Amino acid sequence: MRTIDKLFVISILALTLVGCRDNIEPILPPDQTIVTYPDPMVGDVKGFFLLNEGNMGSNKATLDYFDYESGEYSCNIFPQRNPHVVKELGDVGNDLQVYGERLYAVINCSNLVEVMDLSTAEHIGAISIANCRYITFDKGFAYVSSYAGPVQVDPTARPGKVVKIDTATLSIVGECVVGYQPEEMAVVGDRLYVANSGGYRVPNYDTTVSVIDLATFTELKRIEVAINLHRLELDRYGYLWVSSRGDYNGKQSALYAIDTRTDQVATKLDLPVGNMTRVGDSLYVYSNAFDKQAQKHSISYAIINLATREVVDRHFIKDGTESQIVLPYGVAVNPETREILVTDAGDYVTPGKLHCYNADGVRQWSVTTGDIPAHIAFTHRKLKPATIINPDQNDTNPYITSVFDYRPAAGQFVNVLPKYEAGDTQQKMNAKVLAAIGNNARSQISLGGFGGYVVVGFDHTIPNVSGLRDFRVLGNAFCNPTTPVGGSCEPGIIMVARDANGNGLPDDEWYEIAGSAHRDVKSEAFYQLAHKAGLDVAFYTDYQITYYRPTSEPDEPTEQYIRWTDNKQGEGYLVKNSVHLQPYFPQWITDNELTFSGSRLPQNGIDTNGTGQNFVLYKFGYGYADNDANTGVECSIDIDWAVDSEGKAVSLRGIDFIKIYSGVNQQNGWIGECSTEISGIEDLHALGERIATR
Amino acid sequence: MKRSLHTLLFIIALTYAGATRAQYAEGNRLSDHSITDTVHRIDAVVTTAQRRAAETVPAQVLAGQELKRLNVVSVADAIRYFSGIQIKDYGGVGGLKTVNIRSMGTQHVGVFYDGVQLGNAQNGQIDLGRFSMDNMEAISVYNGQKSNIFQSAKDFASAGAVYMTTRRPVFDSTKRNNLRLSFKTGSFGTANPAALWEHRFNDKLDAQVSAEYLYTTGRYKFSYRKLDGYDTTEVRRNGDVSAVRAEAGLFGRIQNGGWRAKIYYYDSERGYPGASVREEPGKFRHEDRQWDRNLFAQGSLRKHFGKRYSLMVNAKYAYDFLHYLSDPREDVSTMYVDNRYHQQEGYLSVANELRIKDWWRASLSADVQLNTLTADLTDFAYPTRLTVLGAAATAIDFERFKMQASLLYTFIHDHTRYVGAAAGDRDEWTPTVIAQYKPFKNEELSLRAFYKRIFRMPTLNDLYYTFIGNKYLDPEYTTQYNIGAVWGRNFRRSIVRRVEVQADAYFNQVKDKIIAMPTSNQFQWTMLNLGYVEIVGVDAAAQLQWQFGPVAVNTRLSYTYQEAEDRTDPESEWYGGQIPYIPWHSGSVVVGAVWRDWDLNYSFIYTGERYESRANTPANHAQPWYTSDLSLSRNIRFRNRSSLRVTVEVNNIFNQQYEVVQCYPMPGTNFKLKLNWTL
Repeated sequence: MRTIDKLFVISILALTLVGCRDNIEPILPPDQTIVTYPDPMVGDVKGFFLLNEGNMGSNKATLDYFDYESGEYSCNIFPQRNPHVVKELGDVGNDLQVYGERLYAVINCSNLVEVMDLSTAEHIGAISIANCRYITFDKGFAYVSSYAGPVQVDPTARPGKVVKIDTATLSIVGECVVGYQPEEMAVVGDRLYVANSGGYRVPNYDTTVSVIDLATFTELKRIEVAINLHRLELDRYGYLWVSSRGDYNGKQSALYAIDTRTDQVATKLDLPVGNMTRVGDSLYVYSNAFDKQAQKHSISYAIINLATREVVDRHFIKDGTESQIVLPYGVAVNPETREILVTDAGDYVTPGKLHCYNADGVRQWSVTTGDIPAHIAFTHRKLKPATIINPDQNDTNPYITSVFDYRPAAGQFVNVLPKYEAGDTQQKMNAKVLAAIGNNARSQISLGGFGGYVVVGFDHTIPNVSGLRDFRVLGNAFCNPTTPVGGSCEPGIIMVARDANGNGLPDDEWYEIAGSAHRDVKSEAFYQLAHKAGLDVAFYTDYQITYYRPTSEPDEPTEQYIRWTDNKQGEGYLVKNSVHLQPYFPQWITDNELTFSGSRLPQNGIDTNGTGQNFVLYKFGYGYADNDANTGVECSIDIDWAVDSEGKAVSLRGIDFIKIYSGVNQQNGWIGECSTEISGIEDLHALGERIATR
Repeated sequence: MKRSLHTLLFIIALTYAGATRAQYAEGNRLSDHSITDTVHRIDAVVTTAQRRAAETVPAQVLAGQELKRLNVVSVADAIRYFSGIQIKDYGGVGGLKTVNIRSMGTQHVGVFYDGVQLGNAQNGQIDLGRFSMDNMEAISVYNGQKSNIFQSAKDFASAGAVYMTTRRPVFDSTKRNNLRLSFKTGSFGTANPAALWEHRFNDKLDAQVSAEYLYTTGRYKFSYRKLDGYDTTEVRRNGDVSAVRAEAGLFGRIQNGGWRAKIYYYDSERGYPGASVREEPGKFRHEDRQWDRNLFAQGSLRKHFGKRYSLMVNAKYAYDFLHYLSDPREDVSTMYVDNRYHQQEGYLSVANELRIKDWWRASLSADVQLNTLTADLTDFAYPTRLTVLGAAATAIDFERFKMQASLLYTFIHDHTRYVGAAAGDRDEWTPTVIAQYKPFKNEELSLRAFYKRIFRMPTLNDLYYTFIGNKYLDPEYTTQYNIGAVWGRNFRRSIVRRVEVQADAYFNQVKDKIIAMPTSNQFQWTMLNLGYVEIVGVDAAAQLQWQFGPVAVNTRLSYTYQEAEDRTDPESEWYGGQIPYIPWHSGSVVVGAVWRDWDLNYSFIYTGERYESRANTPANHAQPWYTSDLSLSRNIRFRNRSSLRVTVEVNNIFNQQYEVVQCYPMPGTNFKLKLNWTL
């Protein structure tokens, strides 16, 4: 063949090869990020679910979960837990509620209500209801509003309905016709109030609230309120708050209160309402008006005092961060902590945001959600980890399979992560650590202050593959895209060992992974900043610290709580803070002094505004545990970075044991001492992940 | 397994080619398309090894037998074989199919039917799935504009253009009548009879009448599967189409010129199967329906006066009716919608060309267009739009160097029934420069470049649709920079007889992109000038002709690489993301073999991975898809000089389950039988 012919054949073959694809798409695992500090003392509210609507016609309704105990946000948890539910959650999630031990999601354009187990988010059943909108509950029955009432001769005059479901059998037991295009509902005593919108009848909107007698499940009457009604919230004084959307064109949105004793409108507030939620005597309302000419939204975040029925605050976000919200969509308030959650739907076609503000309206954290984050339901059950089929093809377990030692230094999460119970021995604590971080359990353990450590092993030797990183250490670090990068990075130093004598125990020579600060402490991006802030930025290879058991255990915050001394003429105290009041000294250890030694990293926590309020824990370059978000590349370690006790590089073919110890000795104001947290270790090769080394 | 079968098929297609000599030519007869309006005689057995005149702008043409051999239902299917093109396809015979050139957006594509632009002032998009291949002689795509200065101002007025050219009557010396009857049937319950009659009155006047009916149930099976998860097979319903097309044309010749007049009528009813989303299987019927009626009459006259001056006049009247019905009596889950839209368009264009020297020409053209839109929507604005276009152009043409420059003036005035509802007047000046250089005298190599700045006006929907429209919108601008090369060569003793390769690299900017944005809830969206997109791409196409003894083989390859990045907001987490549905890699291969009366055609289309949103996350990732189609046809000649062509087609041979648009599944393997009887 001539060159030209060959060239042609080659190009066709090349094109054919490019054209291959994975024949069957895998189910996407949830996207998990630690977004805030763990709260081991979490109260009754263990977490919340968030339903993302997804744009109409894209079948992209997704469910997210936030866990207060671990501070972890998981995006899109439904498919992994329900791989056999055809086409996942469905199209346009419109409401989400918890009732009993179940989670109910109303999926509008899929015409169904998805019923899940509250502690696993696993599918229990689905009830098909055409054009269903919202759900509420009373005495074992669920009530679902639906636009699809009986069809009339005049197709434009089709009323809506409320469907009654027996939650024991998930079967429809009754229907009641209401006004046009009914939206939210509220149970008041033995009556159900339904807000009718008439949104399909523009410009002839409905203007009424239907009142249903629950005993007979028939409509008693309609209360005249205003056009295009939408949201309902009942307060403690017997007033039912109803929002009118207006007509988006002259007639403004407004808020009304119906006195449910007289069924008369008692109050009108000229406050436009986008969404609202009630906690105690506060009604949180955001409103949103759009100006086409200026192409701008004008948004306000108001609080109404329900006792006085007055607007008492027009800016419940106090730190100026509301300017970062493009389009507020959902609002919820944690009934225990009064934390405020506001979702941002952005442009509807890309993932939105969830922002969490404390009760004082100061932003605590933000996270990327699914598309159009909208409906939030708090849960009193911690979501159990998903049952995952081991992704590995052979018998190798990519995760930690044994824990040899766990000896934390004193610290605010010690005796909590994992939980110490009276009588627990070292052996028992090791088992608890394995349960928490072994076998991909992905819970958390804390190593306490400087020096505290854990020693773990695997069911196989993790190979050292040239040019690739070999294992990943998961922690709870998070990073913000600041310069330099910082957030909550509490680096732990990693050591590795081979089972050289083959006895299965970590009694062999240890090698330390020399991370960025090991190599040149001045190369750390935060170095100058920390130096200027007067921090101790020295790096020692021969550091030793001793913690002294407190003589008595205070049950209130104490500045001089646990004393420590080091071999560099340093001494100080661990502070007991108001959030964590349990003993900080490991309770299963009987010694009165705890001594640790090893390398010590420069301090990395800086009080950025000098008020002690805003500590940023900066990220080290690479080579440490709990120093990068779990999705970040710097969680992954190359065994080639290991050095011997003299700092010389060693060449290891593989490793059997890993030891991690807290690397920084620093007390960071109210957020406490710098303590490494670990939630797992993964053999990247066993997982088939290829991550290039530096 | 799938892949190895695939490769095997290629090898068979490549090596099966046997040995003799046949005239094989139509493929390269694509050349003179820039002057299509004057000459068109592709139907007969023509030319050998004609040199293809390299276009000064990137252009691609499918015509004649090559077009006929492709397994395509509509014009949209054929355009998929061009490089630099993305087709948005909602699946099935009746699903909407729009074309996007070089990722600038559907509304930047001008679509021309026999030289006159098809308008849709309402939403600016043309459904190319509705244009039948039955009567189609050539389909061409131009980047920038046609490299011809003697054309209407509208030909200068879009960022890229698709030209559909229908058959012109051609008669053998003795014949005065041509009659052609055809019938297609196959999967999806399709029946498609068509008839064409051509008559020669005298050497000054020919007539053509054609009609076609299409019916399909639009039903097909599709599957969704997840690894270690669900596996479901469903049937696409309510995708039926019933359509009638009728055309009548007169073709006249006058001294130093010609004229033609045409009436086109299309009437259809179709169902909308809707997005395939989760729901209780089989419970909801999704009975949304749409009726369309399109009527247009257009005429064209051109005449040369002496050696220096030429005149062309085009005129058109169009009426488009659309009726959309969604009825809860048919589908309980739906909202009642019963809307009727009426559009009218009047258009007149005059173009003049002056040949100053043999190498220097100049032209001036002026177009006037009036559009109206009425709809039975609440608070509808009833807009009327007057568009005035003026274009001045000049071209110099030396043997090895060509250059064109044009300047387009656009004036737009909108009027609405209610005072103050109309957008303000607009006038804009937009330039284009095109150049071509042949570095070697005896080598078919030319280098080309163009620059073009043009805009699209917000459509009447963008501006005036109740609630959604925003009269404060600015036009959406595109700027294109293109450099490229074309090379061709004939070979005598090789199996390869001719090679043509063209490659272009480009950089496009789309500014003030008009996008729909939510205002405060799912019910309320509006249009905003919010987007900025940068597109860097390479389009390459090659054509090879082979001769394996008696078997002539023609091969067409196209490849496109595009980075089309959303660069609207540097603060956004998704800044720089690839825009939705634009693959980085795409391409096609067509291999056609002719042996005596037999034709074998294999075509392969590849669309690489892409995202369904500018948020390029795993959740929005779309897998590559690729389909292989095969067709075999035989021409049977009868003694009475009539002939019958029988074609059997298999499409998507490997039954790949794929989506072009999220939640709109495409058909798997399907079959077709075509009979074409020419008298």
